[in-house]
Amino acid sequence: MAHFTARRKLATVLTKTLSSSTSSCSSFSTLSSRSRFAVPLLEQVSSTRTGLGPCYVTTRPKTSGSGYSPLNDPSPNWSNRPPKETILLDGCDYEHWLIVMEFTDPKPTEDEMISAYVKTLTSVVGSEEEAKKKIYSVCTSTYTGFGALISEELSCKVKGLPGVLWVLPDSYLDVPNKDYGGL
Amino acid sequence: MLIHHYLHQLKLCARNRTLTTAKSLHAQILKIGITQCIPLANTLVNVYGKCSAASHALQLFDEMHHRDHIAWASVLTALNQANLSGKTLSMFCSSSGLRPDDFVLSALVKACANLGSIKHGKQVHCRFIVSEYSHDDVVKSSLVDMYSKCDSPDSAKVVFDSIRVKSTISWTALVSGFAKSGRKEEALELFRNMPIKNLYSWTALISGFVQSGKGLEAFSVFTEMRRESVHILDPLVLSSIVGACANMAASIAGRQVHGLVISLGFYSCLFISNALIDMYAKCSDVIAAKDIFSRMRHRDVVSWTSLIVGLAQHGQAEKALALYEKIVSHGVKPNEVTFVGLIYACSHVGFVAKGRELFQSMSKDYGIRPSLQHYTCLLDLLGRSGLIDEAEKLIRTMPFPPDEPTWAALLSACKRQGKSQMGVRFADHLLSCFKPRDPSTYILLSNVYASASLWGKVSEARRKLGDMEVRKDPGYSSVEVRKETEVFYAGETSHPLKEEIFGLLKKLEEDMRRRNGYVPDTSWILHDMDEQEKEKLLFWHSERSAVAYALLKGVPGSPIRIVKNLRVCGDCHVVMKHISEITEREIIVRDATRYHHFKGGKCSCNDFW
Repeated sequence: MAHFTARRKLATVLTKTLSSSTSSCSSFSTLSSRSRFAVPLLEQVSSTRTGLGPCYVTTRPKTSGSGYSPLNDPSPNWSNRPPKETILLDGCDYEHWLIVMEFTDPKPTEDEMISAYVKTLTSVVGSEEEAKKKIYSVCTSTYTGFGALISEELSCKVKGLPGVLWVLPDSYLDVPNKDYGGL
Repeated sequence: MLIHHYLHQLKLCARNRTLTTAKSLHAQILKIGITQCIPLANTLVNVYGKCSAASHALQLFDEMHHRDHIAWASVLTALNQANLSGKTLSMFCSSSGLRPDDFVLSALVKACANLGSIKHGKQVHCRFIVSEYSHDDVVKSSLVDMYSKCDSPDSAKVVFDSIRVKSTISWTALVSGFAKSGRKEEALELFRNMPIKNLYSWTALISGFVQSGKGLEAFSVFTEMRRESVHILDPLVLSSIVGACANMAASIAGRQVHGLVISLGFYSCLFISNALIDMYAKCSDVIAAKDIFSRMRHRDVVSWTSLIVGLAQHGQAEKALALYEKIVSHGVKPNEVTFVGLIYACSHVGFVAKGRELFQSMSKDYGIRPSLQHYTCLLDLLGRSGLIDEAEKLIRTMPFPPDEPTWAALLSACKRQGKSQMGVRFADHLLSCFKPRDPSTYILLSNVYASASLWGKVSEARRKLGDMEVRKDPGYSSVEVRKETEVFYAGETSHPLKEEIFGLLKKLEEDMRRRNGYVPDTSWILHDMDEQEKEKLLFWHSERSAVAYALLKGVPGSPIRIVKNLRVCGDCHVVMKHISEITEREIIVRDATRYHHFKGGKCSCNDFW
């Protein structure tokens, strides 16, 4: 008789298609390589109906009955009170900034990328020495960017520099060890 | 021997999901003539199901002379996996006397869960209880999941308690059910009692909270999850959290999560990118939304739609329409949300012909039936362009009963076009059909009656507003400055920086009066009080305090983003325009109905909101 061990996996009915193909990570020891997950999740992504993930399910259903409409409820969902508490992830202090840079093909070497990082930061902090002191993390694989310890005003200046893709508030990658990640 | 060989090969196909190999094996089996060997046929049905070839599974099943329980279980599971759960149920119903075993019951329960049909779910549950398998834990687990999905966490709990050995999956299903129903204390308690938690359990709790609007709770659970170093191997939880930020218009949080997405290596994930586009648009940062979009290697209809809607909401109508042309040329099929965004965009720039054309194209070319939202946007477009008669005809003939915002849009148009008689007619109709909940509707009604000199009705509208405001929360605005969120309520603030705020606002007002000839428009205050009192009330409208605070404390030159719970009043709208010009800053106000981008003395809404 055929075995139906698959039946034991409840979640097989609920499939989820992951359309991502994530790059393999080499810079962080805490992360294992991300592979497409074989065991589907219990959450059913209603992507077949509305083409959107669960985060798009409106909390106040409207008469049309469609799963999502961004114009359904443009007012923020504050549950009757505004979010007075500022939401901050651990390690986010608006002094540590993740600066992601973009490199065109042909991709530069690791060393070239790192010197580009230093050069970028130098143009806002004034000297290369200062820039090297302020850079606390560097990555050239999972993403191409670095972490810099600078004020919010300076971070705004970095945004407009050539090759800079994003300037975002950094938070701990490894929370218990208070580690921002990178090298 | 031969049969064993094929069985083994087929099982490999099932594991590896290799459809082509399965098909060629099937061909061989056919040629040899052993298709009616029951274990072989059952395995083949199962393989086709796993390889998502439900039609093959079905066909094979139909050809079988003798179908046992395993065959039934296989075909029903295959249908479930192909999202044909309706067929699962209908097939079973026509199965003439099949007494389901635990596998079949499991498949049936899952079908009900997929369909979200508690009615059928209860029927299957009943069959389960009276069957000889009523102690089967796996079916019970499926039942917990089904009740959770059908929004009945209490029923789920009853079944759950009867499970002898509770697996992590059943715990997770139960937690998910309570979280999605917004019962946060119970969800959290269950979660804490779980013996083993994995990423799915955390994800279930977090996305359940997000779906039921408990964004802050979702965030605090997420923070806890990060502290426990749960490896994020599957990024669904990240996209849920991004969704929470979008719902709360929390750009500070959103940017942090974006940073996390990048450093964890998920930035090329399609659905997370889609979520980020939507989040940035909702947090009034269209440039960031565009940046994300332009850097995506693969895009789907959701990516395009999110950006189109974002652009439309922020008054960048031509860009939204240009994107639509691109979608069509790329062969991507727009969905109903795309059209809501497009027609909305047209209404902002008065492209009546284009709006009508899109409305027709929606059903004609793409088979999408227009919803109430599409009608409302079209009405808005007609109203703004002065085609009130056509708008009235539309509102009376549309297949949905119009709601308060729809009538308000029409009223607004009448007032703007000076059609007071028509406006009065609509106003009467509005009042007779609804008890309006938005104070700005009352202001609109009052102004419409005033323009027709119906003072009795004006007082009535004011009285109703007065009754309402006593019960309702006052207006408030929140502003994100650096890493803090400050909230200001209407009326004189008791904020520690009150003196500075007052000083700055006073100075700005003097500048406005001098340079731009500004005079406060007190018609926006319906209460009976003298002019000075009314001016003072306007002065302390929450969005002004919020702007002043941002000017004092924020990074110089950066855009100021404010979120207000009510519609911006007309006087504040004028004031914001002036402030943006005087201070040379961009001010973005998201109010209850739309986004206003104030820059250089102008507003993106073209003074029509």
